Amino acid sequence: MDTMIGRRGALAGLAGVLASASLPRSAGAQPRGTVTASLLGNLPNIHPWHVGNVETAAANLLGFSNLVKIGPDGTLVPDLAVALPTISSDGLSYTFELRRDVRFHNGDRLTSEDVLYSFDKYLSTGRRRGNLRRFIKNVEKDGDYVVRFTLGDPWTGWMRLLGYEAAIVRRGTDVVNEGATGENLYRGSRTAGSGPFIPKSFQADVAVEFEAFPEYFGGAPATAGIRLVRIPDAATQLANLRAGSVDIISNCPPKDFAPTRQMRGFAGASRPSAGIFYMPMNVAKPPFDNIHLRRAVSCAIDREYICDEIYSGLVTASALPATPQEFWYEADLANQLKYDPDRVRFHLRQAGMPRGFTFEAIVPVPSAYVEAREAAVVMQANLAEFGIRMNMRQTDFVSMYRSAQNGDWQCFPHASMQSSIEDYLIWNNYHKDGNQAQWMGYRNPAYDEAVMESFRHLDPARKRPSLRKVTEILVDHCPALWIGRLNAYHLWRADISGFAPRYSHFMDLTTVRKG
Amino acid sequence: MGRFLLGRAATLALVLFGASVLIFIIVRALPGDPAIAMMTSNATPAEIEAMRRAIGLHLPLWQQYAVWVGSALTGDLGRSFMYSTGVSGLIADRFPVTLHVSLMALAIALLIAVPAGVFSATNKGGAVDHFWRVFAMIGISMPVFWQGLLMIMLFAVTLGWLPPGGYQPPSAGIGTTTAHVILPAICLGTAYAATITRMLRSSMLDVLGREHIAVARAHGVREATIIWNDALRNALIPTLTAAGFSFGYLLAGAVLTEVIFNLPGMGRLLYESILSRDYPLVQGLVLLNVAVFVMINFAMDALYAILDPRIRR
Repeated sequence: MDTMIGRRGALAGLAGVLASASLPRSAGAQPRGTVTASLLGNLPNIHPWHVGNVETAAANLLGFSNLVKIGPDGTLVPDLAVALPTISSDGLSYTFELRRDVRFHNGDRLTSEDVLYSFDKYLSTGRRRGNLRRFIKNVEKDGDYVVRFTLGDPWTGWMRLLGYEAAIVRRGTDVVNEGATGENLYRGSRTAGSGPFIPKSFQADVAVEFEAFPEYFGGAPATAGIRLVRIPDAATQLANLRAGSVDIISNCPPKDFAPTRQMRGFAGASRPSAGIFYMPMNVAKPPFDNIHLRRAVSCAIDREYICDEIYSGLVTASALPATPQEFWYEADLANQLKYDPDRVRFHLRQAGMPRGFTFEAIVPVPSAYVEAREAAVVMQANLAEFGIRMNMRQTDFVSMYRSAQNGDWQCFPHASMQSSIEDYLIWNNYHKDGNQAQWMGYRNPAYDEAVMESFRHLDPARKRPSLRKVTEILVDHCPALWIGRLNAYHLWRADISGFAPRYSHFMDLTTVRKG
Repeated sequence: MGRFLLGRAATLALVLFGASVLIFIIVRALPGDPAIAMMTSNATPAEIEAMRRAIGLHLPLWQQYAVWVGSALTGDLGRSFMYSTGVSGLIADRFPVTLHVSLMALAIALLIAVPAGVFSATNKGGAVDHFWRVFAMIGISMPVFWQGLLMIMLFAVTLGWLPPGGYQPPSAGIGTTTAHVILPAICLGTAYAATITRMLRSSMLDVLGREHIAVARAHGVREATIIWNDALRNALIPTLTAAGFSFGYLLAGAVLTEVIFNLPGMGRLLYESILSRDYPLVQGLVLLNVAVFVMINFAMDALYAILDPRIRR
């Protein structure tokens, strides 16, 4: 937990999380109250394999369980599995032993058949199945409680996707339409997950209600019900919190976060998440096919000002994909890309453009998570000091990605939510097989090798040497301007406990309690 | 009267057909690919292509149009890409919310505008006139999101009298439903009241300056009768037009108001559907909006004919 977390919020959140996570709950304890939490983004479905944003992930976490889940600090923890999997020495075989005390909402017990069934469905119909399907070559059971996955290439990152994308349901209970978009899975009680709450009612994009599942394998929830409501405006979310109509809010205007957290009757906390605020540059096209111009732009940006003043400290500044709090952050490498006017002038001279140059930035409006336009205006001012002219083309996200895929782009400053930076983004954006790498334009066999080496290990100490190599190459070639990492930040009423922001950004209400 | 209405109905059908073609073309001219919007940026090109085929975007445009119109004629507006459910069902779900708020907003607008417009016209240049002119100016120029947030802060957060947002249907009880709808209705109603007040004031001044009003005064008809019976009746025709179209705009959904007050109405649905390039949903909603305007226009024509028999000829 970083220093951004207020004392009161941190104590409340930590105490609640510890209490609910480590103390066994009495099976006879009666859950109390209903907690209402607001979500900012769209909530089109509750579907175990159609997670599309942090909102659907938050809802899924209540109703479904996965083999592993992502802990508050980003580390993997077992969920339906007894422990983290045993990984073969070549990094290709993952063996999970399942818990024997898991019951689905319909009363049936979990076995390895359910895992096989769910993965068969996920890999054939899941909305974002491509990544897992590419790596997973085989899923087999070894008895009723052991499941083994065989990968084609080593990739630890797939475990993070397991944390929220590929939920396990009771075999034969789902009614997914086999069409492309699928049916919203939740209709009455036709599906059976094994999460701590059972979906009770659902109105797409408006609200979803859950009731406690007393036989949850992690212990009966402390709260009788959870209600997720969609409030698509951050200021309105805050007004609802202050008026008492919601207990927890997913977002508020950044400048209102600290003052509200300090108000009597409210608490709040923030922490860096897997979201990243950065500006990929098209290295295959002028002007950013010139490495010196990429580095000049990177050294011209005052990240601290953007993160602290524009986003009220709710973006953690970093010139690298990693933040200073993370195990793979390399301070000496960060220094090469941080704000440094002398370096800017040096690189402009090296590029043969000492008086600057002009480029176009596609800025998504409205933006997800933080308003990129506000930072882009500061960037324009920063760059103008060196004669670099950044023209903004504002468009929406879908058009931005369309332009990118058509090669019609030079750069786009934007915020993006990832399952992980070190286990996903570095592969997805710049490895030759990464999805976005297809249009990022960056190719480097040495980089690909370093990424794949880092994917062989889960242990941070063993990952670090290869991740340093990855970072060195990223700093040398500078295919993106790294601005900072988004913080997950939430506010809640003081009578709420057992809740804290998470690395994965989406709200985990499984251990929340009221009163 | 019957032939008049039949002629108008035929025009209505033609307008709807033309609108359906335009809507279909314009929606597809939007930059961006719905398959990308659905699959997120991390999807593989093969997955995106598979999604395009699955939702029918690989078909020729004329074929896509034929499928859509053919289904629409049977009441089936297609299937939403984003919500994986029928567009007609989604609209049926959201329209009552918008209708409820719109009716209440229009009632508030008329309750304010009719007396304000009349008193303003009959006290031209006086304090009352100035007051309502300032009111109209503020009502027209105040951004709805700002007004909405101020009202939430005052009535929900500070005073705690009303909920800050959300929707409860009339089945939840008259008190509950009204409490949830009153703030957005005031927010929208005052904006339209300002427009209608200005319109009615101008019409009233025009009518009050005509000869038949002077003749009525010369015959000693009571001033109240002249104003409320003779002048207002004649001044209502252009005002009804303004009110009718205001209602049309309200039914199309007020995006900002619905977002600020967290109302699951048509405006929010349209906004979301455009952002996600949900073609069937955008088409269904825009077609409905066109139909609403055409129907209101039709109703206005019928009303004119009743108010002024010369129009039928």
